[in-house]
Amino acid sequence: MPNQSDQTQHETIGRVVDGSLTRGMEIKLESSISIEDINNGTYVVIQGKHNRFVAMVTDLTLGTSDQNLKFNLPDMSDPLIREIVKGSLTYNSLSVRPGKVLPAVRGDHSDTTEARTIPEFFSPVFRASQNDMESIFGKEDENNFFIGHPLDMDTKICVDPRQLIKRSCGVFGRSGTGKTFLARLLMIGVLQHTEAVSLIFDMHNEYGESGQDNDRGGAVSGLKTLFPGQVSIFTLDENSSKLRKARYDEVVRIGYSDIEPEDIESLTQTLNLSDVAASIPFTLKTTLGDNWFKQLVETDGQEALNKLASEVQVQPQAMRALRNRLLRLTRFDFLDENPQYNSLNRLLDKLKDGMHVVLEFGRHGNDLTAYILVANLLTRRLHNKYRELTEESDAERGTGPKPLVICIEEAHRFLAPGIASQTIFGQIAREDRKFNITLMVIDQRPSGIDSEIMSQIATRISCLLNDERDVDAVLSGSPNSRELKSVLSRLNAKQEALFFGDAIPMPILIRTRPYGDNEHYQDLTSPSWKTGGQNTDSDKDSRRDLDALFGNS
Amino acid sequence: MSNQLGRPIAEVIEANIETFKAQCYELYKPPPLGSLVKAGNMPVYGIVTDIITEGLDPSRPIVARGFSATTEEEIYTQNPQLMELLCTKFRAIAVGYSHDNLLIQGYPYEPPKIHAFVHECLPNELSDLSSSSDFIHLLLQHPEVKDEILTATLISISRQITDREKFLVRAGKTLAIELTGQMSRLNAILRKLKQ
Ligand SMILES: Nc1ncnc2c1ncn2[C@@H]1O[C@H](COP(=O)(O)OP(=O)(O)OP(=O)(O)O)[C@@H](O)[C@H]1O
Ligand SMILES: [Mg+2]
Repeated sequence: MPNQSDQTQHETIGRVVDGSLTRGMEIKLESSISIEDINNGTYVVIQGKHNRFVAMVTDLTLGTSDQNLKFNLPDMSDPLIREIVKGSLTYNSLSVRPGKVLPAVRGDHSDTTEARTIPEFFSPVFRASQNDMESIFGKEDENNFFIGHPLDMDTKICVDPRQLIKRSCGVFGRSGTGKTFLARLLMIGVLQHTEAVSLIFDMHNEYGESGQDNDRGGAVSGLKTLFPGQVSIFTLDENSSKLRKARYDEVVRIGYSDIEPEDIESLTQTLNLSDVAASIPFTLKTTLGDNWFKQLVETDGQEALNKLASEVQVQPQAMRALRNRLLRLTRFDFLDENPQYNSLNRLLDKLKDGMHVVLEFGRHGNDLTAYILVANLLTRRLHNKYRELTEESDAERGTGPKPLVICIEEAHRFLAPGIASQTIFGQIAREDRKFNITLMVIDQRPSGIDSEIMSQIATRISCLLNDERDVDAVLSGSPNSRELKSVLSRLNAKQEALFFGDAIPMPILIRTRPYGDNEHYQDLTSPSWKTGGQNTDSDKDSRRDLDALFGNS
Repeated sequence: MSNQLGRPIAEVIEANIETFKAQCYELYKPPPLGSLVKAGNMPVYGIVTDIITEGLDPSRPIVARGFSATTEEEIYTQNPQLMELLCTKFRAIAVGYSHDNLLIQGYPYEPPKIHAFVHECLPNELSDLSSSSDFIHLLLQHPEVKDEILTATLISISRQITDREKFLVRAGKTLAIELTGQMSRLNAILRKLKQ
C-alpha cells in the first residue's frame, strides 16, 4: 500500500476526455483540483487499461459547457453557487503529451518504453510520484548525476553524463539565467561519472578556482576547489590570476609559429578583415612556412612590405591592412615569439592523465579577439592530435584517446552561419564524436548559431530566453517544439531550465540543483551513492508496492 | 432502510405510473410541498408537487359563509359539518420504488394500489434519495413540475438531511448539466437554492 506521503499522488486529478497520438491528450480536471495547483511543465501519469503513460503538462485551459455563461454570470459571490458551477458549467483541462510508458508494476526496474499508443477514454490521471520519476530518469547513483528537481516535487532528476557527452550538448538562456551554474554542475557530472576529460574555455574565470554569485554576492567554489586532484587550471593571464589570488598550474604561452591561417580566418569578423585580407595568410604560409606570422608582423616600412607582397603575389594594400590588424595580436602577452615551452603539449599531457583543464582568460576574456583566437587555435591543434590518436588506435583496434568535451561560452561566435563551416568548432559539431571530441556549447543567443550545427546539438538545456527567434532556434528539430515552446517561454528567470534531447528520456522542466554553500559542495564531492548511502524512501516504497502485489512472507 | 411506519397520513385515490393522488385523513394536514412520501406496502416514492382542498361532493358547490363571522376560524366553529364536507388532497410524482429494501430511483413498474396508505418518509429514506440525482432528471422531465416546485423540493430535502451543502452542490451540478444552454433559467433556480 502506498504510504501517507504518497497519498496525494494517488488522488485522481482528472480523466482523459480527448486527444490523439500526434496532438497529445486532453485531461478534464476533477472539480476538486484547482487549476492553479497545476503548473505547466509538470509531470502526470495516466493509468490506461494496460499501460501507465507518463506525460508532461504543456497547456492549461478554462472551458465552459455553455457559451452564454459569460453573458449571464451566476452569482459567484455565493460559495454554494461557486461550488456548483465548478466542474459542471465550467471545467478546467490540461493538455498533456504522453512520452513514455512505465513498467506495468510499480517498482519493477525494467525499462520504460516509448509511448506508441494512447490511453483509453476516461483513463484516470495522477500526479507523477517519486517512483514514476525515478523509473524514467533514474536514481542518483554511480551512473546518474543529480541535476535538479522537477517543478513541484523534491524528487531528484538525474542525467547520465555519459549519454550527455556522447554527442554535443548545449546550455542556453539569456544573460543571468544560470547557464554557467548549470554548465559547472554538468561538468562535475562528467568529471564524476565518465571516463571523459574536458577542456573549458573559461572566458570569465568562473570555473576554476571560484565563480561569482551575483544574487547572493560573493564567490562560489570552482571545479579546482572541489576536485583539486582532477582539475588543472591553465591561465592566459598570470597577473590576473595573482590579483585574484587564484591558483594556477600552467601559464599558457603561444608561439607566433603556432598561429595558423585558419586562426586568422576565424577572426575575420572580429578584426573586421576583408575577405581578400583574410585569405592572405594561406598564401603567406605556403611560401613562408610556419614563420609567416612572425615575418609579416616584423616586416616594417612601406617598401619592405610591398616587396613581400610582390614576392608572395598578394595585393599590397590588403596585406598592409592585414598586418595592421595582426599587430594588435602581438600585444597579447600570451603570444610569444619563442616560447620556452609548448603549452599545447602540456595541455595534452594533462588530458592524457585524465585531468580536466580549465583555461582561464583572465582579463583577456573581455577581448573577443583573444578569446576566439585562443579557443580556435588550441581546439584545432587538439583536434589534429585527437585525429592522429584515433587513427593510430583504429589501426590497432584500440579504443582511442579519452573522450574529450570542449566547453565554450559565447558559442555563437564560433558557430554563426557564415563561419560555422570554416571554424574547427563547426567541424567538431558536424563530425559528431568521430574523433572522440564533443562540444558543450553555452550561449545566450542560440538564434546566432548555424541551424545545421544546432541540429547536431543532441541534448539541449535551456533557461529562459526572451527573443522568440532564440526560443525557436533552441527548439528547432525537436519533435514537440510547439508544446515545449509554451513551457520554455514561461520559465522563471533564474535557476529553471527545460532539459530535452538525446540524453534525457523525456523533456523535463527542472529547478537546477542549488550550488553555492558548503552543504551543496559536500553533496557534490561525496554524493550519497559514494558514501554507501542509506536506503532511500523510494526504495522502501517500491518494495512495499511489490509486497502488496505479491504478498510478503 | 427502516420499515418502522408511523400512522398513515393519507390514502391513494388515483394512480398511474408517473403520479398518484391521495386524500389526507385530516383536513388541511397535507405533507408539505416538495416533501417525499411513500405509498403502499411495496412502497412507491413520490414528491409532493401539488396540494388541493375541495368539496367532497362535486354536486354540492361550496358557498361563502363568513358574512357574520369576524375571523376565519369562527366560520369553521360555527359550521362543524364543514370538516366532513371538505377534504385535502395532494398529488405526488413518482420518483422511486422499493426493491429489496433499497430505494431505487425511477418510475415504479406498477403504480400504488388505490387505497394504499401514504406515509411521510423517514430521514434515512430521504438521505437515500438525496444520495443520487436521478430524481432531479425525472422531475425536470415532468410537464407538471414547475421550476418553483423543483426548488421547493430541493430545499425541503436539504433541510432534512445532514449534509445539506453537499446535496445542494450535487443537485446544482446536475441542474447545470441538464439545463445546458438555458443560463437564465438555471440562474433563477440557483438564486433560490442559495437562500
Ligand atoms: N543552480 C544555482 N544555484 C544557486 N544559484 C544559482 C544557480 N543558478 C543560478 N544561480 C544564480 O543566478 C546567477 C546567474 O547565474 P549564471 O552566472 O550561471 O548566469 P549566466 O546565464 O551564465 O549569465 P551570463 O550570460 O551573464 O554569463 C548566479 O550568480 C547565481 O546567483
Ligand atoms: Mg555565464
